[in-house]
Amino acid sequence: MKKKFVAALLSAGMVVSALSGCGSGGSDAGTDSASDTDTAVEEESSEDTAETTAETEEADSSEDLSGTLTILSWYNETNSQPLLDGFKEKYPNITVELQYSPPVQDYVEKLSTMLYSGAGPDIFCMALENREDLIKGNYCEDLSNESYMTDGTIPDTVKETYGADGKAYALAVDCWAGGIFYNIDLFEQAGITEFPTTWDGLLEACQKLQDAGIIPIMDNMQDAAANFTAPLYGSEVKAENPSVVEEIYAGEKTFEETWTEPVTMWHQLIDEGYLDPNYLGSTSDDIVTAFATGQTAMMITGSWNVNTINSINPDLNYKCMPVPGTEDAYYCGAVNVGWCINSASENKDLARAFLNYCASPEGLEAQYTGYGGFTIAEGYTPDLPEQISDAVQGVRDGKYYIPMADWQQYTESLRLTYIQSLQDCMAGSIEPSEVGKRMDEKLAEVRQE
Amino acid sequence: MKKKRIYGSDFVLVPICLVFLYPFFYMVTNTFKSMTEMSFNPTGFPSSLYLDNYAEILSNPQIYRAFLNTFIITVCSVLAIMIIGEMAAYPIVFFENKLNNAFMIYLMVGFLVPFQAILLSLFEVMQTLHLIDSIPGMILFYCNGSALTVFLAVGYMRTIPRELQESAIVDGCSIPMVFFKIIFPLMKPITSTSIIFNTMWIWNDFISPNIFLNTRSKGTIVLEIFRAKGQFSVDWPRFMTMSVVSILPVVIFYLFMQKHIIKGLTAGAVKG
Amino acid sequence: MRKRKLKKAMQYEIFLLPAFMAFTVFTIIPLIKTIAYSVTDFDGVTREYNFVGFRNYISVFQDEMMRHALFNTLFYTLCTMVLINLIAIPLAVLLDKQTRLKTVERAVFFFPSIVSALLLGYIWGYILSPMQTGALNSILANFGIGPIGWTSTEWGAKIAIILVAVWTSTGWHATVYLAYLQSIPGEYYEAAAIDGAGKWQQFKNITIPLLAPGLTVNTLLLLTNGLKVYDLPYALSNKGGPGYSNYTVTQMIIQRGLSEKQYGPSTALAAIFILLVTIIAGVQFMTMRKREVDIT
Repeated sequence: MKKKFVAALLSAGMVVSALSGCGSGGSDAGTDSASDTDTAVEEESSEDTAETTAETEEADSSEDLSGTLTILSWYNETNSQPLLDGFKEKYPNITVELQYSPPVQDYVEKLSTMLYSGAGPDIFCMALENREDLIKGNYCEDLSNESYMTDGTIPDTVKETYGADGKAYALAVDCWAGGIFYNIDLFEQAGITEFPTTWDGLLEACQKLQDAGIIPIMDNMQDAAANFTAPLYGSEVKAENPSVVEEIYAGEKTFEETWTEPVTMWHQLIDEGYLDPNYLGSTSDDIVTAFATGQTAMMITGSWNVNTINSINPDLNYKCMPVPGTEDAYYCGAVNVGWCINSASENKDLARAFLNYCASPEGLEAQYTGYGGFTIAEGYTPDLPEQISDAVQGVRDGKYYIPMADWQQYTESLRLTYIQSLQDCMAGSIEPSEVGKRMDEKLAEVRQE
Repeated sequence: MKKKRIYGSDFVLVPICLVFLYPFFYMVTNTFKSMTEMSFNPTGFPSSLYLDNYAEILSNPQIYRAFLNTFIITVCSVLAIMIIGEMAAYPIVFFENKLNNAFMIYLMVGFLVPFQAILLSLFEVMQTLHLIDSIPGMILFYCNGSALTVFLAVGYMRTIPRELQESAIVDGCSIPMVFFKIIFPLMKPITSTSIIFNTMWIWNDFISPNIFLNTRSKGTIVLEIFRAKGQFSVDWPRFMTMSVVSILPVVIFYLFMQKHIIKGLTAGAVKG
Repeated sequence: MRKRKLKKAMQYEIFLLPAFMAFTVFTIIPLIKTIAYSVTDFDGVTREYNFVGFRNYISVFQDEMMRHALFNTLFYTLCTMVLINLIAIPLAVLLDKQTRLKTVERAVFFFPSIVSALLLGYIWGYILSPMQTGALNSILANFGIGPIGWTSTEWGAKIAIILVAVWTSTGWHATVYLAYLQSIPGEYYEAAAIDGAGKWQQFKNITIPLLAPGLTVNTLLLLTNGLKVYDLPYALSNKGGPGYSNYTVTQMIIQRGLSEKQYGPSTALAAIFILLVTIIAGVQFMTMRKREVDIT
């Protein structure tokens, strides 16, 4: 009886807040689904009183857990909705307060300010760019004994990426893949029937496109994860010497020695006029729009833009291909961000419930629906869009390179130096060899701290 | 008769006006286009009156919440700044001593410190006082922006004859009463100047709410613009619609206050 | 007697208290903490830190990016200060004249300054986009020019930032001048005209000197706002791009401190910068005041 009363009160409260939410009479999907769950809560809880004894242990705890859980997410509200809705259905008494900050730099800055001053959320995201600081500052709970880590749901790559000393700190369930997105129709128009498999072949294709009056490539070098130089580093340097980065950190090699080759190769695109430095002033969104509307034959990006391209131009005939090197071709890609539990959280039980839900098959599906990353955890297999399926397979086969995963220390300093030096190089203010040199200088500088 | 005339300066000013207005023209016309139309025709007039963008933006309840938050924060902070600032000017002008002069220098130093430079320490202080992610916290924080108001108020208050205050005290008015009953009402012109200054600043402030207000339901309208930039990244018309909607209240405020601006500035700044 | 005096003082000083409190808590205490951090190896992550002397200060001067950011901010401040004053004074004189559309014209020029700088940065970003679909490029395309990458080079972006800043704030500063112009009694000009002074002489001998206090106010505002600039370059030039070339000091402080966890050098830069701002503003204020006194 008492329980019912509380449930009624709760749902009344929610209706009020839902009403006040739409203030001037507007109503959208968000508000509608909120009131839907309200009724669901009421029905469910009235049934529960009769069925308590028959409930399984899991459902029992989902009813007992209540409170407010705060999350600082790297994904915005719209994309997070499927996951939050699913969680709400399972744990009706937990209110999730989702805060959002756009990746990468804004997110990293915001989270570190909050954590340092003790105002951290219960759950936050660990990315390649902040894992070192999060682990060093002891901000994350050790998840290595959680069931999803021990029963094989989460692959070992995740534990390696987001772990240290045998501990796992973040629950990442998906990955992204990327490479050169190319417009098949424009390629045919220029008389290219097959995507080039060598770097020289790529240069030839660019020439043919240019001769046909088509802009070959647009790129603004804003993204350290999806660009030409990273996969080239993978195929030209890392493939020959897998431990190259450790050697750099150990002082046996330098960034300059190893990065000059891929950067010089990429710079050929600029020297030959295939890649116009004017695009430095554009935003990544400009370029996606230009690609989707057929203004450029190629761009380099990740799977997160597939939906955007399809929404701008559903008829675009395109595919994602690896960046061809001299011998091999590599993709861009990485494990996506993972969820962490704040070690100073007062709601660890609720946070654990959230992570357990994220690792469950329903949670995996909800995350795929909302975030669009490719699930690598066991329990759910998404249908991949055909344009990107090769790329995902390439990433699964290990044919990809992302520098930030290799830069175990001072990741964010190096990333910023790397990307800004590439921009400077594209603008012509520094030579290709200086990109690596600046990274060496940066490493020396941050080490001194 | 006189009104019909066109003056020489109009020939200079009107063309400059048009150049000045172009970005806004560009912004407003594009709100009536669909994304496809804008990508083919970015600069021309819309082919038809396409209102979906407005329907979409205005049906999002969050925008009303953001307006309400911004309104509450701006009104409360501006009032607080005005009262605090003019109060502080009172002893500085009517009770000159070393302490008060030192306070002016203290204010000056603080006025010059860029907020970004002390960010992390400020965040720690706010956290200790539990002012993070709270609208009242935001308002308290804005109170430290009263330096400019103090300077303006000091300048203006110096023009108030001292005899006025002295005779009031002789008549048995207490010192605080003199301020609230006599001085404060006389400060009207400079008060409106400071209201305008501070409203424009606080309504449009981006960096402090971005750092101190985490929950979306507590966020301000500028934060919604920032968010829209990420969310509608490729949908320019929708972003522009969001922008137009967000600046409407300031435009109304401005049209309402416009004649006070020059008046306030003439009265305040000139004497300051 | 003494007691009464003290009581009187108390009654006055209590008025300072709210401003003093707000100021101390939100500006002075964080400022002191910041300066204290600048001589430690504090990284914003671990809570342990040690005194390291002036090492961080030395690293600021050795760091080319930080020096460049300092240059950018100073350059921005200087250019906006000079350009805006140069345009705002004649504009104010024109606006003060009898015109057909007085109110409308005044409203138009003031208008950009009431809109958030972040938003204006984005809108101008669309206008100056290097793509064919950017507004300016698509207009130029009608004449067979372009597309041009307006903000794709360091100086292109720098000039764009300054021009947009001029566009944004000129009207506001012109309004301040206008206020001063309107306080000049008409008799001054009449008397000068009787004495046979031409328009230019009237402008030089009456208008300019009487605008001097306006110049002080405007220059001080432009100076402090210019040195604190953050939103506009950030929104207009792809977060300070290309590369590092258009970083502002404030952006650099935030990035170094919060993203890169180099809290020591970041706070050292902040401390140097605050000192610089104080000196520049102090000198500017003194000289302007002195000149005003000389004129009157």
